[in-house]
Amino acid sequence: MIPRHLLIALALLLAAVFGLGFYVLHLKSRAEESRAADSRPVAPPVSGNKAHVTLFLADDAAGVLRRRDAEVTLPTEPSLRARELLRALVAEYQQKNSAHPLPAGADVSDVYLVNGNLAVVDLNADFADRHRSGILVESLTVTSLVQTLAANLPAITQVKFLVDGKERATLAGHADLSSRYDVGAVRQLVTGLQP
Amino acid sequence: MRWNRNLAAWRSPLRRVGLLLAVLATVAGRGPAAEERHLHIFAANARYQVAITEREGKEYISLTDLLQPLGQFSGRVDGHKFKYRFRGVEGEVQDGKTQARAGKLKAELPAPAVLEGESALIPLAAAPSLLAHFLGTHVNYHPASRRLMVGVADVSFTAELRKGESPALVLSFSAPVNPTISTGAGALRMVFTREPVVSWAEKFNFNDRLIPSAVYSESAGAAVLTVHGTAPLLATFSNSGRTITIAAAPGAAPPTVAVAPTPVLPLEVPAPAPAPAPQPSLPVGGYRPRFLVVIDPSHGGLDRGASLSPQLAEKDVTLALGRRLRTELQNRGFNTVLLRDGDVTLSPEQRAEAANGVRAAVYISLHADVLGTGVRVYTCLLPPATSHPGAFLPWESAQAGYLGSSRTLANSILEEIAKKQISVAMQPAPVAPLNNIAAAAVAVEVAPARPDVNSLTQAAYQQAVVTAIASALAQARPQLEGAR
Repeated sequence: MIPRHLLIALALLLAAVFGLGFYVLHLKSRAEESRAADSRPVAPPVSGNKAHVTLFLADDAAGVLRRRDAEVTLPTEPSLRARELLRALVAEYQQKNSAHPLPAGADVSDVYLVNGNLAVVDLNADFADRHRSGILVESLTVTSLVQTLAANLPAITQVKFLVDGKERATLAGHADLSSRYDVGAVRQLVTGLQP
Repeated sequence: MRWNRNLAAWRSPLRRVGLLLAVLATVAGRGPAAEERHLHIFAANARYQVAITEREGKEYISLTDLLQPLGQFSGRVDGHKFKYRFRGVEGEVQDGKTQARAGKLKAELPAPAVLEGESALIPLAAAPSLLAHFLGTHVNYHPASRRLMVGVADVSFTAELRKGESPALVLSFSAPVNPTISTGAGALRMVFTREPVVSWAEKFNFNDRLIPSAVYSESAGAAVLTVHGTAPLLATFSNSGRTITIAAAPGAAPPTVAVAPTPVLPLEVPAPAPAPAPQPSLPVGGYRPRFLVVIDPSHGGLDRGASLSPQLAEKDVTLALGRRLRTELQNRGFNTVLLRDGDVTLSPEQRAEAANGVRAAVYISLHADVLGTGVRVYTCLLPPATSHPGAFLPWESAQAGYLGSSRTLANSILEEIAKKQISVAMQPAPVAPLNNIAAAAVAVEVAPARPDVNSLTQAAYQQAVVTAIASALAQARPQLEGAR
């Protein structure tokens, strides 16, 4: 016969083991969440000068693109400049209370300039995989990126999107990423999307 | 009405020489050198030309000349700036600068503006986007003929050869036309300067001994249709100017004269034509293309589309809408194909291949969303085709040649949905796979009737939307068939 005090001590020990186990699992999931949130770019480029740029920011509720002037630190190399410009735009969308929220972790991995007039924009997987689905929201994202590029780099006449370096049919089921975007056609659309 | 009914009059030699000179003068006057310097604008309430000038190798037009005929306009030079007010919206351009302002929009001109006298010159290439911004309507520019269509429907036509003992070519236009016609050895030439006539085909082959072919071209503000014949041809107008029948002239020597048909039609763009009466004839190629509507309920299978609520996926709403639309169209006598009638996964590419493979006349992609309320109608986001397509269409821009038809359909849907007291909007958008569809193509996105997602699944709301789409198709069908 096991003494009663030993049984009580054993039960308390088991309860402590289970409690600690749950607490460790909880800490692990919190650590994973914060890692995902921290994957967005938070630091400005290390070199470059402040430059005045024009951002075209989407507003879901109104279904419009709003033009906003901003100051961004930009490198001198054109493709890096284009990437940092788009990162500044994405960072605006990742602010609290953004009118067109993009998922945490969404980023522009690279921008390649081909023949001076074609910009190939490589988005990361989080950008597309976690983007909200719908014609309006996806169109606003794409046209906002294209028009911001075109407004600040006038030589660009076409824009092509990749996701993680690969071709992809759509952004989140609606916006076509298989074709190149004609800047002139987007500009006309944006004209109609002004508030 | 027959245009060579006074053939006896040509027998007077003096009159023939005089008229021949008149024709030559007319033809010379229409040569590229004389006409290339004007932009021809077709608007709903005005038809006018704007002179084109050249500065440092680039084409410019006067901002005042461009905007004044379209609404209240005033402008003044203020130092290096030209400040203007058009329809209550203020704007300005600066001498030697590419930045321009039109209301709240700051635009980048393709070349610097030039101040000249009391007006400003802007690059010709900036005119379409400027007008689209100010007027809030679609603007089509045809560079080959320097024609700018501002918020007006193109006038399209079909060409059908009526075989038989005396073959005749029947041209059916979507609106009344009033071309200048000249006949010469082996050809009858029609020049359309008053109506925005367009064609997506450059050459029509009829495999007929009398009328082997016709050629469409554009130049200097005009669309030109030249019908080749092995005998002298004459043109007859009917159906209030909507139909031109071309047949062999009855046993006369080929006349060489320019004639203007009567009655002279008003300059205003006519209302869309009703369905042309069935012709007891064979169309080009010997068969009448069927009018097939492809309904594409978007998403499906592994692709759920947008999550409209925790329980409701976009793919389920689009399928319900698709089935309702199929029934509604079939009740109206349309041939229809539903691209998916179950929960299957289809890529955008497969959808486009399927629609193009069955030679669809119309492609309607159905979507659902919880953002906003009402219905949104989208056409593709491609620049209009700058050249006529050949036998093969580029996959990435197959839709470019059908933009006119797609906009016609979208406008019709817009009108019919508005009649149901449902809020509706229309705009271009980069929706897959619209770019790849070789037919009139639109995407229709249905949002809740009010801020309550449950209304998306209500039968009455879904039925109201699909009934409006079906009515719109019935309304637009004659124009869409004409464009084909």
